[in-house]
Amino acid sequence: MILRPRITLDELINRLSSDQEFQKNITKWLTINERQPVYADFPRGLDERLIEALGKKGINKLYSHQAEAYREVMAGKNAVVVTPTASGKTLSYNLPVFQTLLMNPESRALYLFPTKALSQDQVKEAQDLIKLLNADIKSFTFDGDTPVDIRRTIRTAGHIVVTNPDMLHQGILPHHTLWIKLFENLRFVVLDEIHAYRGVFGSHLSNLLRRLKRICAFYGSKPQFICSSATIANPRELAEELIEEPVSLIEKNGAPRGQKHFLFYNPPVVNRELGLRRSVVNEVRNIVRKLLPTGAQMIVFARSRLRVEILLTYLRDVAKQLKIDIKKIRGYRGGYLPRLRREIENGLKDGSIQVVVSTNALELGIDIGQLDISILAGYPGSIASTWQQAGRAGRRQGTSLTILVATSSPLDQYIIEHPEYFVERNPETAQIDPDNLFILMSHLKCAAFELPFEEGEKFTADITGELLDFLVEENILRRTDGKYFWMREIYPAEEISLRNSSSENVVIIDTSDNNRVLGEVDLFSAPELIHKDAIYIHEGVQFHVDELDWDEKKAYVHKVKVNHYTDAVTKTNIKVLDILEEEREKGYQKVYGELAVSRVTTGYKKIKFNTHENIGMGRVHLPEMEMQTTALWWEFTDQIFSDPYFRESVIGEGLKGISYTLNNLIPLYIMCDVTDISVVPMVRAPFSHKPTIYVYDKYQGGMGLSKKVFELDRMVLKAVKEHIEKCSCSHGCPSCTGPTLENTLFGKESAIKILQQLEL
Amino acid sequence: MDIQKKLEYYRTTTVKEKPPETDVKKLSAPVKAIREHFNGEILFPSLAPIIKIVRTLPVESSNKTISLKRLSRMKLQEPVDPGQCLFFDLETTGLNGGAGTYPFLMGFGFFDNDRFKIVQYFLPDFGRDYYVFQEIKRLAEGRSYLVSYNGKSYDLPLLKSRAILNRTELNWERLIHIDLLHLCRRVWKNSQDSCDLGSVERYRLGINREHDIPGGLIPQAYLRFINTGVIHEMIRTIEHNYQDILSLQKLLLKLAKIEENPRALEDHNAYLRLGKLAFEIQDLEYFESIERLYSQLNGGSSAQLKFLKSLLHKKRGEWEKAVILWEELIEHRDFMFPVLEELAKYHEHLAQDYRRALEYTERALKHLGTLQQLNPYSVDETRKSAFVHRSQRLRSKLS
Repeated sequence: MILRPRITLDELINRLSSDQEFQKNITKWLTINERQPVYADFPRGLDERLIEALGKKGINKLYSHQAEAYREVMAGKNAVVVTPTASGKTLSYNLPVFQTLLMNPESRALYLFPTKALSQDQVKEAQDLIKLLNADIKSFTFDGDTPVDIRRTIRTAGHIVVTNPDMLHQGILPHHTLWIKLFENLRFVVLDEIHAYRGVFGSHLSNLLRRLKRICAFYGSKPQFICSSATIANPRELAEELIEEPVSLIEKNGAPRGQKHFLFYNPPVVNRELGLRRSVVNEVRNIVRKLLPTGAQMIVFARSRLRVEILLTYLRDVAKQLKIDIKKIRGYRGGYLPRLRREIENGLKDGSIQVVVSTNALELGIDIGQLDISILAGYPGSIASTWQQAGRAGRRQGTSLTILVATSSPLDQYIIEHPEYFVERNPETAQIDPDNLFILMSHLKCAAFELPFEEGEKFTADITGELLDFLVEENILRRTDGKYFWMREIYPAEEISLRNSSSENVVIIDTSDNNRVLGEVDLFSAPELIHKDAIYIHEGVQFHVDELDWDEKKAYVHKVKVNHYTDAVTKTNIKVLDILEEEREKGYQKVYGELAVSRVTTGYKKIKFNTHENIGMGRVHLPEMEMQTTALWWEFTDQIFSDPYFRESVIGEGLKGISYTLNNLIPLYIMCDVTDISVVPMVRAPFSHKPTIYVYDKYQGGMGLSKKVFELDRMVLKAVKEHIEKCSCSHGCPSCTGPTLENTLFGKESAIKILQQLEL
Repeated sequence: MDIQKKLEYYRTTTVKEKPPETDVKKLSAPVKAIREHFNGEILFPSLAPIIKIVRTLPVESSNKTISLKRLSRMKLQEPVDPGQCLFFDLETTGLNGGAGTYPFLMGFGFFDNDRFKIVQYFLPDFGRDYYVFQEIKRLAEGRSYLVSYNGKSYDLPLLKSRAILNRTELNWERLIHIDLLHLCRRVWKNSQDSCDLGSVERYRLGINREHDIPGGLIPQAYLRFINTGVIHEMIRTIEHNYQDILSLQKLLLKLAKIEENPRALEDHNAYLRLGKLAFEIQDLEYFESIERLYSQLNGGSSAQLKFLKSLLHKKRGEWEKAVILWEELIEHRDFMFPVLEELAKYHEHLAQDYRRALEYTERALKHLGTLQQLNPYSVDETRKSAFVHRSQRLRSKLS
């Protein structure tokens, strides 16, 4: 049954624009005009069978970007195609791959997708094309779910092997001799959605590709790389860092686009003093109540699994009140079984489901057809994700509507004030650091297991030999007859996860739910977050930490409901190890270098919700944690504090306010999570004795994040200043300089005064 | 910071146990010592020393061909000439496989007239397998069988992988691979906790190894040898591998005897396994001989054998014989439901006696009902619904 909207989307948009109550909260109504398609003819020399097969799918010409990608790839170049959702991205890489497979049936291609779910849809797409081609081309998914008995077939007969990085890392490369057919004939490696390969995951992937290329070289092949990326600021730079080869950029998109209405919805302020706004969940409920009776099909994106469940309950209540079948409203998130997921995906396609509430699980290429409206319950954390979620709305070339509902967090509030980021270029850059020593070493070990290193061989520039000799000293490798051999009885890939920088994590175990593993915390943060008697908040639920077993790296928690949270008392020591770059600017010196950060948690405070009263404290005895990482820091000159207003405590509050905002806004420029970086203000830094703000990567060895902030620093500081100035609160609030307690009344004012003197 | 300082820090954060001291860098003295201990020979002394150890011992004559037809599930149709067999076993640096696992000791055995010859290649360092390949290819020349223990899933794939890494080829696909682990499982899986070579040796060949190094410790022992040059663990490993090859040869002959005459087993669990094998290869004559042996030993047949036999009759279309056995098993708790189902099927589809068929179906449903009252979780729902479905169908056929 296809749902028949009772009114058209255009009528609905008209109705919304004249709805006074709704309009009050719309800070910006952005209309993005439709775009006509730019076509290109099928390239000369394209196999007749392909032209015929595409014709059967109704494709008689290409979009310009597909033709351009084909040209670049067939000319032997690596390529990255930048495409919004639903713009025929898949064909951009399938076309050159299939052409090559038809010309030379011995050729092989490897498709890598960041997640398992995505790969299944892509295999289906490739298989559809194969069926139409009626050629002997085989494509298979190889992942953890692949039955053992067909693995052998895949290894020898699969022309296109679809897998994910984790499987390549643990299942394919260490057993490369079984995959001799693939590696001898590998022509193409397709990397889809490369913007997902950033930070730790991307740094791992880059090293994984070094290993892949090394194995290919052993078997005498040299594959080309075809990448796709969402719209980010540095797609080519990222692709080139990942594969360490030149890459052609294809960013002129030829796909048509319908008119897009992008609404920025800021919930009304309920407490000006505290800067609190009405909750996103409530607002989304009200918006959906307005839209539901129109029959429009919509997707609601929530930030966490828990949010999905809460919103689902709320929206079903709304449906009940409106006498709409609650089965038309469904949730979708990781943790649902695959069969249920398929059922929901199909329900969306055939129209039997009207509303789906989802985590970002539905953001990436899973096929659910196109819906009318997408509602984002909170900024998804990156502009690229926002576009992908918005892209779920809008039937091909038709009008679409996206409503972004902001939370009180500083980043959401900043985005709401700056819709221009959605019209102009996306400022987000994806950063990786393939030479992070911890990640590099992990893969060097795996590589040595896969194939002995020759003396003088390069894995990473310049230092390969030194690293190998180090591993010899550690008795991990043996150097003999001009080669380095793996000499451990273990299988190195098994203990290395591509999603973490260090293998050491503390596992959190919920004893109130059959000892279920709740999550993990990196070792460095564990003392602050999950010390004994801490209240650990996971997806909005409180847990009491009963015990932190430091030797076993396990924390035991149970579910509680209390009216307070805990705030760890930590002492941070920062030691500058090396200065790599510095520059003098008006009002400050900016430095990029290496730090040793040591943190020790000595105790904790119990803080009551809402009133922020301190209602007790306790002591903690845990070892000091040390991390060596890369950082950027600003040393402010004494002149800017010459005004007697700047008492030491006022400087402290100002720096703290700036740091809070910085921490929240940096993810807008470098694609990372607020927890990936740490911002530490010091009124008197031990190194320079000057007021200083440090920004460091929260990863052993650094991840390239603060390096990028160093390059962009004035842009970032300017954004911080404007954001604090624009905030409507009186003395600082959670949306700008942070929540105010009784003794921090100068934070906002002092922050503005400091930033004003920097002439940003 | 320069890379050395970083590495120093990396060491402090990652290394948990202190690596063993490495004072012996040169391996020549230990290599010599091992060679002397076993009176071996050094191959490629200037290039890449490898120790070749050859030992022979007298055995029963190998002239007689043996049969493993049934135990191999009819894979080995032709009689096997033990003289054509190459026995082999590897010791490696890891137990999980993967390209970085190195076979540092390769043991081979074969009959040489009335003697059994064991040739072992010990690789005193990494990167020397290339040279061994030239040797072992020669060993396989003129032979038709490979005999191993779990070699189909471990030793042979590993050897093939090493061949690829060394850019050479084994071409052992032409050899018929007899993996004795599979044969032993067909006989003794129910008789002992584990079918690893050590257990089979102990219980079936009466071999008790003294001072043996457990297989699981061998990888570490080799790495220790590389680091320290201390040879005693390697001597134990070489003896271990030697004993493995010897046991393979004995086991092959033992299995041939069991194939020829299972009476020698005197083990009712093993007879049950062989009964299952006879059923799988659909050999009624063999089945009945196993059944007789079982009855002689146990003073009666077993329900399990009866049930298998009934299915064997069914497959051969000997329905009357099958029905008699099913009727006998109808009260047996383990086989009641499958037997009632078979009887109902037989009476519905072959005898077309719907009333009888319904009787059996109802009987099953009544039992299931009782069971369900005792413990609601004990009843297999798909089984129950199959009976319910059958009952409905039969009723409609009757009406």
